[in-house]
Amino acid sequence: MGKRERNIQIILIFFSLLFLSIIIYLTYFEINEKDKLLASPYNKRLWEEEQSIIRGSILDRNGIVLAKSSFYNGKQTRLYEGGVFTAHITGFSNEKYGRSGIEAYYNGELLGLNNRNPIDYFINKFSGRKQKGNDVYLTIDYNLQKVAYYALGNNKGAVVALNPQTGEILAMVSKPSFDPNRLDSIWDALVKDEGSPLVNRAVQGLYPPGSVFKVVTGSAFLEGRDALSRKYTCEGYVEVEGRKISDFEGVKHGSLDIRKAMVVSCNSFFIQAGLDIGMDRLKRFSEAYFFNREIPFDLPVKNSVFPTASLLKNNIELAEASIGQGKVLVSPLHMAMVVSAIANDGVMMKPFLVSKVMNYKNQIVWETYPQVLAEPVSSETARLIKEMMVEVVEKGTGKEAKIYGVKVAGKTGTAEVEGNKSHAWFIGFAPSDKPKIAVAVVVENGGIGGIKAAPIARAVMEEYLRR
Amino acid sequence: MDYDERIEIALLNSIYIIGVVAFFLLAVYKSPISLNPIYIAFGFGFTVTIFYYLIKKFFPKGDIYIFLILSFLTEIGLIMIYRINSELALKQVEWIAIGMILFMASIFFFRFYEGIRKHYQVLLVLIILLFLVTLLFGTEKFGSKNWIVVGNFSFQPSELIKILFVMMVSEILTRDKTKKGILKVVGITLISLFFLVLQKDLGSAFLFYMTALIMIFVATSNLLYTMFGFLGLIFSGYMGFILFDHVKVRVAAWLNPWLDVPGRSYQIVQSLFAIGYGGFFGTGLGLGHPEYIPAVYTDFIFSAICEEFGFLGAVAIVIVYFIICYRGLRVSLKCREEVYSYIALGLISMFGLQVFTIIGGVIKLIPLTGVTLPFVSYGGTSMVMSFITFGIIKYISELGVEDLWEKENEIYKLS
Repeated sequence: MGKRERNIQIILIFFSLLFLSIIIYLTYFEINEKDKLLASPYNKRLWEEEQSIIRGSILDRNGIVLAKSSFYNGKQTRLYEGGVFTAHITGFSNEKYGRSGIEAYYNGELLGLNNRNPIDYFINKFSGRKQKGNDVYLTIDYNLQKVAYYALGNNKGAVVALNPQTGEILAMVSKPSFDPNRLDSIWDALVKDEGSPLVNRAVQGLYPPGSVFKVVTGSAFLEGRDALSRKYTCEGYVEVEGRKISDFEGVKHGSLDIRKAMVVSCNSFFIQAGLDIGMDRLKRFSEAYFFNREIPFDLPVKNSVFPTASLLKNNIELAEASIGQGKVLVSPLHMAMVVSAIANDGVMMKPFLVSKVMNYKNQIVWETYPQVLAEPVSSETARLIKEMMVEVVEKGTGKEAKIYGVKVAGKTGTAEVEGNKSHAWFIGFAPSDKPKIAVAVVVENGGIGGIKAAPIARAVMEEYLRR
Repeated sequence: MDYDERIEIALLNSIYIIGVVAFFLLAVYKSPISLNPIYIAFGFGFTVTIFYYLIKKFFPKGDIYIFLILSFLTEIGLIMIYRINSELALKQVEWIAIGMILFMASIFFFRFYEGIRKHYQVLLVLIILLFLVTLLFGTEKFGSKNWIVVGNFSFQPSELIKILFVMMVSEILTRDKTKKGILKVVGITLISLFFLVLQKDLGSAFLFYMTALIMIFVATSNLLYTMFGFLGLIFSGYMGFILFDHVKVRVAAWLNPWLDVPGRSYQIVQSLFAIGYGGFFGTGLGLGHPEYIPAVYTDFIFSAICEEFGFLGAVAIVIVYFIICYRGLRVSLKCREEVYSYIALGLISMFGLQVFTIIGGVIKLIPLTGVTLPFVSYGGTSMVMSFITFGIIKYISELGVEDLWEKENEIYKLS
């Protein structure tokens, strides 16, 4: 065989590879890229196809319908039976205003695009019968959701309740809310409203955590040496690099250890502890708690922020960060996860909102199993913090969260906001020895956490434990 | 009936069946029910049969399969075009008929090529002349200034230049495989690239470059030149990216189409939606939404095929194209006369690369460049010139090693 013949065979191999690469890429595209792509809001085919698909319902954990499709004159419209109570969870699906919430995130499931049976599909297509989408079951307890909604009253803010042992979200309220059934008449007002009712504060709102962050600082402190016996003196304020950071109402707590400091929420103690822990270590601990990291969830969550150490070691920033002020920011969902890690012996479960997806034949398409997300602290540290949090509710700043006959653990927070009233925080769980529910409450500009936020948390926990 | 003939008849039968089924569906779907598709199905089957027997009668030697496989592709194209726009399909039917006539004509007339070989420099003059005409009288269509419009007749000279270019390179490489010859090839390639870049026809520029590179490799077996050529390709690709905004736009749309969906990456994203929507089995003919894809009957016809015939249909089309490349390279391999072997090689490389460029482009494997999918896309010049190309290849296949063809047939007959 001559060289030319050999070379032509090499070219044949070259062309085989070119064409093979097309087939391989198409295969990869079919398997990996397709589903993500099809759910894109830019895909005109979906709205078209939706008219021939009965969109699935969204239901709570007990099968109560929160959103379903109804038909007027053959046209499909969404009916939100959860109304204002679950508006931020279900979101909405509207040809004019787009989609949000579960309606957006699980669009493909609700339309049944991901598990289409090709035979059924063709039969339906030819006979003109409508396709049926899948039903999405949430972990939400609709009754608890309503209790949380009413407990928050007319305040702006958010309540998140979850099962610390599994990560199931039991209730998630954001206020102000809106009625997704009336978008056409209220849309303009919603967009202009300065209270941003369309924003889901539970996952998209970032707040300074104030004293509830002491749980994180406390964890870092307790994992250090001789933590339980170490004492600091509280003069009512600490001066860091010429700047005075005072305690609440300037109270002097005197010499105290971490147990007492947690119960009375002493700023001076935690500032001095924070300065001793150091920026790097405190940052490492907060990142173990998932600060600065993406939280995997069924709705998009804004990342919580713990500031990066500046080049010049800035002790003011560190002092502020150790009491949850300054540049530290956190979402209510994340704070609920932090407190559930304490409740669950130091194990943080992956939060989830969708428990299962069922097709119209009532077969399970997929379901969510509880998953460990992180183990930010040792079980010993978690136990110590839990003990302190029980005392906070029994005789400290969180007395308003007491429930008759149940041991409640909690921590209050009053996060200062420049030029405005403080944000009121409460995080807690109950019963403390075998936690069934963990709660985070934030009331925007609500004032003192122990007064404004703790009763809301109590109402939610009480309702849940009553059953 | 020998083995070859049985296969040929099987191919013809599948062309009939696909035509009748597809056009029957198209007739039923569109209301009011039109009989046109039925006429097209029978007309097309009839035409292919006539040409098949004409070829068998007048040019019985060489590769007969190629014509049938090409007919199959044109049929798929015709089905898709009819489904998208039935009026265009009727025009396409005319182009296919003209293409098949010219296919026969080029088999016949290419024998005279031998006579003009000693004046092969004429080819270069023609190439430059055609480029100059395009440059001076060209009109811009679909983003490239490479169309000559006379009345309502428009023509793309670059389709003809492709063939002339391959002939010219083959002539040079047959005569002179030393550095001097290669420099000549490089020179002609650079001249062509210069004009193509001026016309903003970067897809064709890529085809010319790669074809020249493949031909140099086969003729000289010199890996150094080939490596150098590949480096040059990367370098010129990079220069193109830096110098031309429209290249930047294409590359950006390829790397991340989601940045500007309503604008720059509109085309590619619509194409991907169509492909994804089709899934493995496709929506079925007439049930997808190819009307959402821009330029769907020319550059993006493959996306429409993916949508309605699915992953399986699309892969089948890719394999058919590969079979054509295989048959073509086989012709080149078996041809004893060096210059004709090179011409077949060059034409097939140009063809195969064009198929890869446009299919790879619409599925986002490589950046998108606007070239047609030969035999399937709508368009007169592309259809006619593609048929002429394969007429030449058919002629060259007749020059192939006779005894080998015979021997293969003997073996099959015995078995």
